[in-house]
Amino acid sequence: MQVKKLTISAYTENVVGLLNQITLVFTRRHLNIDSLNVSETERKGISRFTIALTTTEAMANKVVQQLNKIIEVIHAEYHEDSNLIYNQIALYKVSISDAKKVQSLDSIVRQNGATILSQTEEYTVIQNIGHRRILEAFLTILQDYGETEFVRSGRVALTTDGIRLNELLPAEEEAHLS
Amino acid sequence: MEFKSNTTMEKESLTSTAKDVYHQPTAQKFKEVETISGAEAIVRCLIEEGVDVLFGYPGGAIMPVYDELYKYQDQLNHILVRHEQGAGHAAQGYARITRRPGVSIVTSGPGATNLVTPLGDALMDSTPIVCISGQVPAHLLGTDAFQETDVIGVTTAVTKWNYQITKASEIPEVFAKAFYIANSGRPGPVMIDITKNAQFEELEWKGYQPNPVVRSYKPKPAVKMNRIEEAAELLNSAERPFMLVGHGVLISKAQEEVMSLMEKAGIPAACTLQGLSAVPKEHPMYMGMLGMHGNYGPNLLSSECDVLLAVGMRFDDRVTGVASTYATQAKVIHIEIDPSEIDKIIPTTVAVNADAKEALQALLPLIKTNTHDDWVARFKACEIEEYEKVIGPDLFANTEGMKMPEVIKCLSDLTKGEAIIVPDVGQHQMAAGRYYEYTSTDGWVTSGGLGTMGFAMPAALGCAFAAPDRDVVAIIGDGCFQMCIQELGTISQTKLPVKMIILNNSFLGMVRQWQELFFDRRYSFTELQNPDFITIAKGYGIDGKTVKERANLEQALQDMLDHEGPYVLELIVEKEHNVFPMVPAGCGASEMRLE
Repeated sequence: MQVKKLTISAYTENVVGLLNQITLVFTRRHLNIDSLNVSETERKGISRFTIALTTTEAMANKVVQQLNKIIEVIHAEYHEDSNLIYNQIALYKVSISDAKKVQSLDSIVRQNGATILSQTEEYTVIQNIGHRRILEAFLTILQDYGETEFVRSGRVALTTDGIRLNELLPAEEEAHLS
Repeated sequence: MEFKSNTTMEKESLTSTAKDVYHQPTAQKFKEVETISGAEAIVRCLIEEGVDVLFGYPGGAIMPVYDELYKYQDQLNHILVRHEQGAGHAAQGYARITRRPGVSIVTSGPGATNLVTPLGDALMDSTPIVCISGQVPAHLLGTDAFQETDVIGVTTAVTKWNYQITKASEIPEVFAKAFYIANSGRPGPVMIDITKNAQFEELEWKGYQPNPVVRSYKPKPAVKMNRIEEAAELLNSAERPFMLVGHGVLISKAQEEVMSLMEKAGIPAACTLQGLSAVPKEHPMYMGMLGMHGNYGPNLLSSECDVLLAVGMRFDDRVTGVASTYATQAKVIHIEIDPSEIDKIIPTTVAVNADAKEALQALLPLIKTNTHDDWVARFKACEIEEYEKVIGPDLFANTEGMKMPEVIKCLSDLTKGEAIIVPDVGQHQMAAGRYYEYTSTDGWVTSGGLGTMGFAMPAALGCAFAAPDRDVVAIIGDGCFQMCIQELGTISQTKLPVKMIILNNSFLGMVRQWQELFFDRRYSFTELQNPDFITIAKGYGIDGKTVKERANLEQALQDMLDHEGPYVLELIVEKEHNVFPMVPAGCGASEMRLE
């Protein structure tokens, strides 16, 4: 079966130790995660895991089943890129002091839709948002200007067809319970 | 045919275990808001959950709870084991017979890590246990304090759920959740780690609410009728249907439904290792045991059935052999409560994600009365072939030494198939599975998934607490006996009539068999120099006897069964007897070898 880029999206309770439980599902199957992002959702106390990995659909399906088995996982599912709206954020710290070069850097930043977050005599910190390939291509450009420190976030994604939190845990029911 | 229904048995065992040690909690006493210690709250939670016996071992970090156990001795029967692993397995044995969570309680650090094997075992074999470990005070967490282990970190991979309590106020809610999770859906082990400060702290006891709502956990999926209809259609049009009966049938108490389906639809059925005793052995549509050392027909004909109905089982690799070749010709109906088991190993045609009993109850009215005489005859033919080549020679041996199968058959006859058999792991386990002729359900407790040597002795003790009215016989190899041998002390102290048969071949028999068959008889570290087991038993105050001759077997077994209190019967068996038939590693189930 064909290996492809897949993104797992999971709604979970926000509890201590859950990250460990989730990563164990991958570790046990010797699967490497491409990127991982955890954040709170629109509902207080509920987190959303976005896990990008490269694997077969059959494996992604098994992983999702195992994730759903974790008590504190409310719902997990996987998606192909075509059903996602996604982005990553990257920060670049370029060591550069030559004034001429700095000027040219500024224009490259503008052309690429990036933003300068901080600038000193020794370095410039730039932020860019986009898909992984774009962020990496931008790194190559910046490296021509000087030594570049680079960090990229995990993928954040919203699905076009995925199940919504309100379908899983209707807000009215929640209010009734609490 | 005497085949006790589960409900009657449960009632019997409940009343008899409770009679001396357990009073129902006086709800009134607990209703008012009182201020009590966390330790006392823990004990009250256990009582509220109907726990009547718990297996444990004290130590520094759990001492406040032990002080409360001292106080509540008239309501909670604490059994002091000799090693925490024994506490876990005893809780498992108890849970497997009562179908209620078994409980063990240990201290921090080594106490908790010694529970890892029973937790892993209970996870693989869907056994509800709740394990409680003490922990260093919250302010010392992460400081490498004395007897500190990251219990949550260590047990996450081997539990259905775990939780660390650091505040006394969390206790009632977490315990209610723990018991609920352990025994709902697909049962499993739960670990609760409690810091010592939470045991000392006080809380307001406002009563106890069992079975809380856990919004992220939906243990019992509703039966989808369209799936049931599809399944019925497949079964009604099948020419060569075959049913696989797993542990889930015992857990959901669906034995009657399974038998009704076998009879109505004329479906031959076989049990997995953990499904044994779900169907009595003499049932005309029962074809035997699945698995690497199961019966010939159920393995061979897996590649010929046209509809395969799997109920409450998970297609373990010991059942399928090479999974990619297993029953590929068949349409597969999989009734299973755990959705992650569906399509995990064998792709299904119709997936029924539901409780086995509920699904079968919905299915039965849609099933047409049918027979498949020619197909059933194929199984019978396999049975004859297996009898000629394996069973006959196994049971009527002319060898000098006894063989394991004839011991099991003799035990089966003497106990009329009604005993609870608790085999350990290895050749003796396979002999017990193959040759004990069940007439009563819930008669089989063994470590199947994890294959834990040393399981049987403590598990049998748990079974004895769960069913004091039944014979409990542990069948143990000479290797296994020495893995939890210290629990002889626990058994002796409880005086419960746990009967232990050592099938002694002075070898780690199953490994030796593989060495003989697949490693050119290079017996690498499998021969044992054994102690005098009976002297050891007697040292613990347990009576016993060694028997070498076939002629004395029956009398020795009868004496063991008649003996009041625990007993160790050591039987010297053939050193190099092999368990057949066998599906060799790397082969499909239908490639089973009879010799």
